[in-house]
This record gives sequence, structure tokens and C-alpha cells, in this order.
Amino acid sequence: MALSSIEIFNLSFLPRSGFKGGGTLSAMQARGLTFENQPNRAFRQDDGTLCLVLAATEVFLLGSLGGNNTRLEELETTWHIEDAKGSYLMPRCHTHAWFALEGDRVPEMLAKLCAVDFRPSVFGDLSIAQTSVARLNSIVLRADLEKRRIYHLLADSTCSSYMLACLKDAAEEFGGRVKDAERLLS
Amino acid sequence: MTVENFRLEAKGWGFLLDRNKPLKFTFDGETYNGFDGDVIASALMASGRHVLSRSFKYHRPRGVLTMAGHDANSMVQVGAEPNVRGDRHGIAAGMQVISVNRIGKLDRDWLAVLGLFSRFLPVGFYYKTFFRPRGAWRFFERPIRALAGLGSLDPRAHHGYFDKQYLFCDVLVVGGGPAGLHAAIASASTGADTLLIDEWPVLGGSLLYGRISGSRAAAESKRSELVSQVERCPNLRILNNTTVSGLFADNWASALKENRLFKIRAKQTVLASGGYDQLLVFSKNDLPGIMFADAAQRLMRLYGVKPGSKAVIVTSNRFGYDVALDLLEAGVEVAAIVDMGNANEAGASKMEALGIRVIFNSTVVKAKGKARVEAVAVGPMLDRDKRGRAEWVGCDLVVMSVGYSPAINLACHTGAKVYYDPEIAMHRATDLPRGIAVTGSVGGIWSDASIGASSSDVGKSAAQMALGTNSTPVAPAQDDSARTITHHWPITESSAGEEFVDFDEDLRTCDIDDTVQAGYDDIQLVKRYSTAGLGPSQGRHANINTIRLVARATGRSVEEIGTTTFRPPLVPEKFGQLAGRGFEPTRLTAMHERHVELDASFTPVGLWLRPAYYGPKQRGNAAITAEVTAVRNGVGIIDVSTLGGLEIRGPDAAAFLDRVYTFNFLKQPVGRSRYALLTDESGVIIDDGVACRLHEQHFYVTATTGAVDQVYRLLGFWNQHWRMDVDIANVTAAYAGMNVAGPDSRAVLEKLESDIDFSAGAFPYLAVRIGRIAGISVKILRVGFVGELGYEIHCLSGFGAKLWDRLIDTGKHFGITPFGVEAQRVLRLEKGHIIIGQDTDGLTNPAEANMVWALSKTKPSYLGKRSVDMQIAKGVKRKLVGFTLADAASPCPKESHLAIQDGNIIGRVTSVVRSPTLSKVIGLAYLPTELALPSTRFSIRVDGGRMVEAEVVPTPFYDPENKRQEM
Repeated sequence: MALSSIEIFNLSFLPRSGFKGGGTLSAMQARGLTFENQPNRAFRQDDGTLCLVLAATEVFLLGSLGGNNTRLEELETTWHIEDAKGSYLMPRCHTHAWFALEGDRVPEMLAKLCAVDFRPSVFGDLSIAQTSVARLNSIVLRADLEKRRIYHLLADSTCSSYMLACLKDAAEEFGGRVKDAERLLS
Repeated sequence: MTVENFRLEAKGWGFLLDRNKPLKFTFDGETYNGFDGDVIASALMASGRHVLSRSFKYHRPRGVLTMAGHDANSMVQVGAEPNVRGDRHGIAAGMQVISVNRIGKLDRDWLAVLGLFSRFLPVGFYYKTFFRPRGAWRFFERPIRALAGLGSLDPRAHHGYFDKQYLFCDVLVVGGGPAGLHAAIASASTGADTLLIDEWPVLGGSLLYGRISGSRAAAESKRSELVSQVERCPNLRILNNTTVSGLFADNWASALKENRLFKIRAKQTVLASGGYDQLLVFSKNDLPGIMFADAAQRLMRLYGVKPGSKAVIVTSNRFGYDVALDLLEAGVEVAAIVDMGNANEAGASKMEALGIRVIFNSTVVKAKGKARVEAVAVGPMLDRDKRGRAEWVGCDLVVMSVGYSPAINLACHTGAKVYYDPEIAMHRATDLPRGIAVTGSVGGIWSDASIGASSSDVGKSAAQMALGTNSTPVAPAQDDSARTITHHWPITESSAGEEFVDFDEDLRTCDIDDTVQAGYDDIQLVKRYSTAGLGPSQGRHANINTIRLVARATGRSVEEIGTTTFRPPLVPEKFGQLAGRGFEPTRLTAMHERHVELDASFTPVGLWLRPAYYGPKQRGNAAITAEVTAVRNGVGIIDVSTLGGLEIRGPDAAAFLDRVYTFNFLKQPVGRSRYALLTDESGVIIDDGVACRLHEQHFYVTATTGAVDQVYRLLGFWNQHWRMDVDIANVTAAYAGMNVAGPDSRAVLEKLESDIDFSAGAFPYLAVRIGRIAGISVKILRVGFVGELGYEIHCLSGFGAKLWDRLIDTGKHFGITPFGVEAQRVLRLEKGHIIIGQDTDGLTNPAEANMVWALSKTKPSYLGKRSVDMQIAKGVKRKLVGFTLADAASPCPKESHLAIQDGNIIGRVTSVVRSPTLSKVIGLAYLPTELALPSTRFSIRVDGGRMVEAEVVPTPFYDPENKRQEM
């Protein structure tokens, strides 16, 4: 669905988690997540969770936009260091702010902040770029909602005000504005 | 003011104008009229003003030359912005334009008198004058600086908003003329994502004002057809009003549009950037009213301005005849067409049929006039340097079309070679780097008939290579008509000696000859000595004639002379464009809003903003003192979230830390913290923190605010090398931290609901506990950086503000006081604790900093151990010592003030404060080891050069028995 202006959503209130360590991929697969050992790719889970494979040693989990986050909770509460098997819980809710961007001109807007080519023809659905956005280490993910092209941006939570200001500034010429997250979740 | 109107009102003139939008602006304080779409130069000329500027050296009057922003003649100042090219800068309502480089009025510039002294100001005179006799420069400097430069900077000018943007494409086509349009259409039609960049507001290039086979209608039709095709191409993007300023390795191009710098990544680049008009050199060829044919056509077609009333056209190609038709159509009398050859029979016949006089095999040899050309002398060309008897032809407009220089600059930025082709009397680019192609006139194609097919081939080939369907570039096309464009010697000299080669620097033919005579016979040296090509037009119209003159002066061919180097940027780039928007990330702690509410004065610490103290700046010292006192006597709370946090997890966690940090960690009990000092391979202290063992396989290690990223990288580096079973994570952002310190801190915590026993026995100094406070999961470190009973509480950052609120609420009963970084600095110094990076430098080893107690004597290794052992064995030359001032009334030194003995620098102060607790000045300083003994006196040179006496004392200054922090 074409959206001529850019909409920015702050999804930082939604659950997210992560695991890191040499045994992470096998441990996560053993715990029921389905993905391939393909860094910089995201994989949709049947409950709406997105599993971002950042490296052969790390996954970042984004909770379902629909609100079903039982799996994330279970993964976190049942984790204990004694049986970690090289897979260590990361408090991603607290390390990273989470923004989503929607609109046909988001790639142009991101090109004002980042050197990565985010054109849809190049940066396909479920692609990940671990890069610098507005001079801040960031993870950019494209995860479409049916026909809506959505770019997710994860960045240092302590810089969330700064990042939001940068996004608003970059989006201004495209008629961009911050919207209530409900609009994306609906 | 009342002015003449030189507007062309009929249809077909003023393509860029919106005549329904009249605008007023001022030039040197006088009001002028124009239309939306006008540029400064066109609006001024429409009002009859032909002198736009004064030349740089001799202050000669100058007018329109290119109408393309390629020359310095139309440079003006617009508001606070100098160096504006008036022939490309659009007018706006109320805009204030000022002419530059003059004293007095533009039309009566007092500095024009310099022209009378030109014989005393030969080329390179400034290399030989002004410095003798010794000291003379100070007399010359002020007037020279006053005369130098074009325009002036206004330091009060408002900041502009500039930014940058990346662009990505398969094929980048530079130039929106016929060649570029054909190439872009072919590229896009082949399936490549194509980006077409053109420096003009509308596409078409020469089709906007020129003719095809003498027909304006044909050019308009062709333009409409091409633009229509371009607009229909789905994968073709167009950037108008944009100039590609540089082309770099791997097809990285920079482009400028208003206040934005584009950084373009293309797989293939096609350059269809056209060519630059070349000067006809003759006496007084710089008079206003003498301009290039393209400029006259642009004035008429784009801006609807009649460039003159009576014209002489001097030409060596078909374009001169085209412009004659345009001038006639515009109602300008054409007094004569001076053809430097006789090859344009068709054009000449047409002119003669219209009653226009054509003078063959002749050239303009001189002009006369003061503020504008009044007549030119036309004489036959007997041979290269010799002219026959000249006749004067009255005119107020001279139009030159004697050749071009292909715009190969961008190709050369990436390494293309340049050679002079005597067959066409123009340079060509060769050995093009992979991914670069040229087409149109920049590729030697001048024929209207050839441009379409050849450019389409180039565009298609570029697209195929970008898409990977073909890897062979198309062979360069040939065009015999290129031989008829540029005259090989468009130079005529006379005894008057005012034949200008480079308008920017007022360089005449004799100046180039003098340069060679002075021994600078290499073209690169000629450029630097004479400054030919160094001005704002960067040699666009001067290079080739300079080369010709050097060839003549040295007896070599033009090919042998070679050329100067084309370097980026092609057009001036503003500092604002290069700087861009400026991204400066700022990190805020989870409690930031609380600090704002408490009226904190913030200080940047790395990327973080931390409260320096609470209260307004003018009461800073009092606030700091009050905060220190509160911690010493009651309880304070400080936000320490900026402290770096690293999770070290895995079966080898203790072994890994043991290899890295200087202390022992293998046997560290769970629930205990330990000081962690980090040195690099050369034994230099690089960081410190506290390692908390939370589990057999889990350490939480703090690092200093500014160094945590460096420590994280270093630990990751060694983990990759050692391949131990451990994972390292930087969780700084994940945790909020607050240190509750002071004798009442335990009481505050005990008042909160918690599952942790805070009693001294259950929770001793250096212990670590995990539990809950006020329902929030926390880990608590009993550490004593400020020298009092204290609890450093860490919780997930999402709960930081809530926990802070509970601590403040509960602490109210005890008078809890938030304290900032400045109070913490005082408190820690009173306790004698050092800050890595402030009390250490890039060479400090543990022995110098009295940190040998933090080095394990039993373990075989840690990072830097070998170096540290060697330093200790060798002995150190300086030591960090505590000091106080002998006279309490002495002024307080500052950090980095020097320690002096017998007039020699022997050390420096690293930390110093006037302690509110001890009521005296205390500090740390590096001194030679032999002086680092208690009671030793030394001097410190403070502000104003005054010396104060200091005395070495033992540290800590406060509570040396550690009773307060271990209570």
C-alpha cells in the first residue's frame, strides 16, 4: 500500500529480547525458534515474533506487533546461566530503542542519515543492516506487514531522544511525522 | 530608479521566466525589477546594467561572459554570502545584492587607477616585493588585506541548514543536454535504475537555446521529444539544479544542490557534461558587451533579455551563424559576422541572403570602449600571428564562438588521461577508468546527427554493464565535424597589450610570455607562477590558450606542453555543504528528566549529559559545597548510569578476567567485588573499574564512562584470539545506576522494602548483593569511591526513574541530597582516589600512579604484565603525589598548572580543589620520584605567573583509616 508521506512510530514500549554467545543459534533452535544460520536476515515466527540473526553468535528478538509475546516471556524467564550452553540473555528492552518507519520515501529519508542502500529493490523484506544511522550504531530491519513496507530501527536506548529528533528532522521534507503506534499495530 | 527595458516580450524568449511574478531587488542599494526565474545578471542586464563587477587585479569593468556560472565576471555578494555567481543565482523579492572588489561606486571604482600602473605590477610581482627591507611587510599587510578577496564574510550571519544525502543508482548520467538525455533514456530503457543530473532548472542543455541545422523549431521539437521520453521512463530519476562536483574511485560522485551535498554510488557513470566556451584573445577583449555565443543565446532564450542593439559576431564554427539568426530574430542589428575561416558556406550564404555582411578569414583584433564595447577592429588573418589592415565596426555587443574545451574534468578526477588532439584543436580524455564513459561533445561528438545514436549506444552499454549482461564498453564514436568547431589559434596581439587570457587574474598574453621568460616553462609551473587557471573559473576559458602561448614561447607543440591537473571540486563547495547537518549523538540516563526537574546544570561527559551540580550556574560553587557537605554529614545520591557495564559470562569468565586485568579473579568469591585495573601491552594504565562476581560463570564489570567502548573492543579482540568459552557484552545502556552515599545511606535503604540485609555484617564493604528494592530487581555494590558508606545500585534502565523516585522519597526523611559530578570529583579527591584519564596520561604506568597494590604478584600473566614488571624493575622517574598548599591563603592552582623547581618544569598538577571538608587546598601532582616524599616543598606556577608553595603530603587526605566507608 503506497504511503506518500513518512510515518514514524516509537515502538519502544513493545517487548524485545536477545541472546548472545557461541551456542546461541543452536540453543534458540532447540528452544523452538525457526531460522537459518544466515547473519543479517530476519525470520518470522509463527506467533509474530521476529528473530533477527545478527551474527553466528547472536539473535535479537522483536516481539509480535499483535501483542502475543508469550514466547519472549518464556524464553527470558526460563533462562538460567547454569544451563546457558553458550547462549546468554541480553536485556534488549533496555539496551535498544525501537522505531518503525513507513512510507514510500523512507529509503530516501534514511539516505540522509545512513550510507546503506535501502531501496526496496536492493534491501528486501527481512533484510538487516547493522550500520551507523546519524552516527549511532543501529540495526535496520525491513519487515513488511503484508503489503505495507516497514523499516525497523533499533538503536542505543540512551540516545532514543536524539534518534527520534534525527528521524523527525530527516522526515520533515517528506511530510514525515510521529504517529501513534496504534496506527501501525492495527 | 528609471531604467531602460531590454526585455524580449514575444513568445520564445524567456523560457525560465514567470512574467506573472514580478520581483524587486536591490543592487548596490538601487532597486531593480525582474521576474521569478531571472538570475541576478539577467535582471540587471534587462534593466540596462552591463557592468556587474570589477576585475581582481586592475579593477577593470566586467560584464556577462558565460551566463552559466563558469566565470568570475558576475561574482557578487548576496546578503551575508560572498562569491555568489550572479549569472546563476536566482533573484528573490527584497534580495540585497552588492558588487564587490571596489572602492567607491561600481561604475567609478577608484582602484581602476591600478590599471595605469600595470607595467609596475608584472606577473608574479608579489613574489618579489613587500618583504624588503626587513619589516616592510607590516606596512603592506593592511592595505593588501583590504584589497584582497571578493566580498566579505559576516561573522554575525545566521547559521544555515545544510545536510547530506546518499543516492544510489545503476547508471549515473551527468548532463541533461541532448547527449545526456539520449544516454539516460537508453540506460533506463535497458532496465537500469538511472539517475540523470543536470545543473539547470530544466532539461535540454543546448536545446534550450541553440539550433539544429540552423532551425530553432527543430531544437525545440527535439527537446520536447526527449524530455517527454525521459518523463515516461519509470526507472529514470532526474535531479535538476544539481551540479556534480567530483568523481572519485569506485564511481563515488559528489553533487551539490542548494544546501545539500549528495553522495552518489553508481555502478556506471556516463559523462555528458558538454564543453566550455573558449576566449578569443584580442586587445580589450574583456570589455562588457563581449560575451560567448552561448551566453547571448541564454540571455535571450532563457531570460528574455536582449544582450545588445548592434552586434558583431566572431566565429570559427556553425554556432556563430546560429546565434546571428537568434539576434536577428530578437531585433538586434548584426553589423557583421567575422568568420575566422571560410568553411561555413551554407551559413554564410544564408546570412548574405539576409543582407548580413560576412567577413571571411578574419578576426577581431581589438576593441574600444570604456564601460562597454563601442566598436571592434576587424582584420584579415594573414598567418598565425600576423593580421592585415583592420577596419573599425561599431557595435555594443560582440559575440564569440571560436571553440570549446570539452568538460573532461570529472573523468580526470578518477584518473582518465588527457591529450591534445591537433586535428580538432581540443583536448580529449582517454584511458577512462572502468565504469566511466563519455558521450556528446565531451566525447568529441559535435554533429547533431551523430549525438543521438552514439549517446544511446553509450547509455545502453553502461546499463548492460551495470546489470551484468555485458562487460564490454562501447567503442568511442568518431565525428569528423569536430574539426570545424575550435580554432587552433584564437589569439591576436597588438601593441596595446591588453589581450586578456585569464579574466579571473587579469592575465594577459605578455604575462604568460614573461612567466616563461622567468624560467617557468613547464605548464604546471606556469600555472602556479602566473596564477593562470587558479581563479574562480579554474581555467575553464583560459587553460588551452595559456598552453598555446607556452607552446609558442618554448618552441614546442601544444601536445608536448600537456595540461594541468583537473582536481575536484569542479565547482566551489561551501563549508556548510561539506559539514552537512552535523550529527552529535547525546546519551541521556534514565533519570535525565528528574535531573531537569531538579534544575541540574549539565556537563558533557563523552556522549553523555551528566548533572555537574544542582542549581543555577551563578551559584555553582555554593551548590557543590552543599552537595559535598550533605554526603559527608548525611546522605547524597548521584546518578552513575554512565558508568560502563560489561557482562562477562561463561565457564571461562574468571579465567578470562584473570588474563586481562591486573588483579586475581580466579578465586574471587561470588558476591564480592574487586578493583579491576587494566593496562595495555606497554604497561600503560587505560582503565579501571570494579569486577563483581555474580555467579561462578558470571562477572559484571564496570568501566569508566569514557573508556567502556574501548575496553569492550579490547576484550572482544582478546576473546577472539584466546577463543575461551566466554561471552562479553556491553550492557551500559541496559542499566541505570545510582550511588547512595553518606553515613545515613544504610538507613535510607533499610527503610525501603527489600529482600536484602543491609546490616554491616551481612553486607560488608566490597560485597555485592542481588535482590529487590521497592519491587525492582537490583544488584548492589558496596563500594566507596567518595569515601563514605555507600551503595551503588544498578537496575534495568527502564526502572531507573522509578527507583530514583523511591530513593528520593524515602531519603527525604534523612535530607537526601542529589549530587553531581563536580561534588563527586571533590569527594573522591579528598579520599585520594584517582580518575583514569585525568590523573593518568597516555604514558602512566601503575608504579607511577602508586597502583602497585592493584597488581597481582602471584599470577603468571595479565595484559601488559611484562612491561609493568620491567618498569618496576627499572624504576620510575615520576610519581603521583598528594599535596597541599603551604599558605592556605594562596590562590588555588588549576589542573595542568606546572610544578617548578629552580626555574625548570618538574611536573604538573592533575587534580586540585579547595576542599570544603578539610578547608584547605588539596591536589594530586606528578613530581620526580626523588621529590615524591612527604614534607617535600615545591612550587606551582598559577594563573598570572605567580608561584605558590606546595608541600607533598600522604594520601588519602580524608579518613586514611577507611573507617567511614567500611562502617
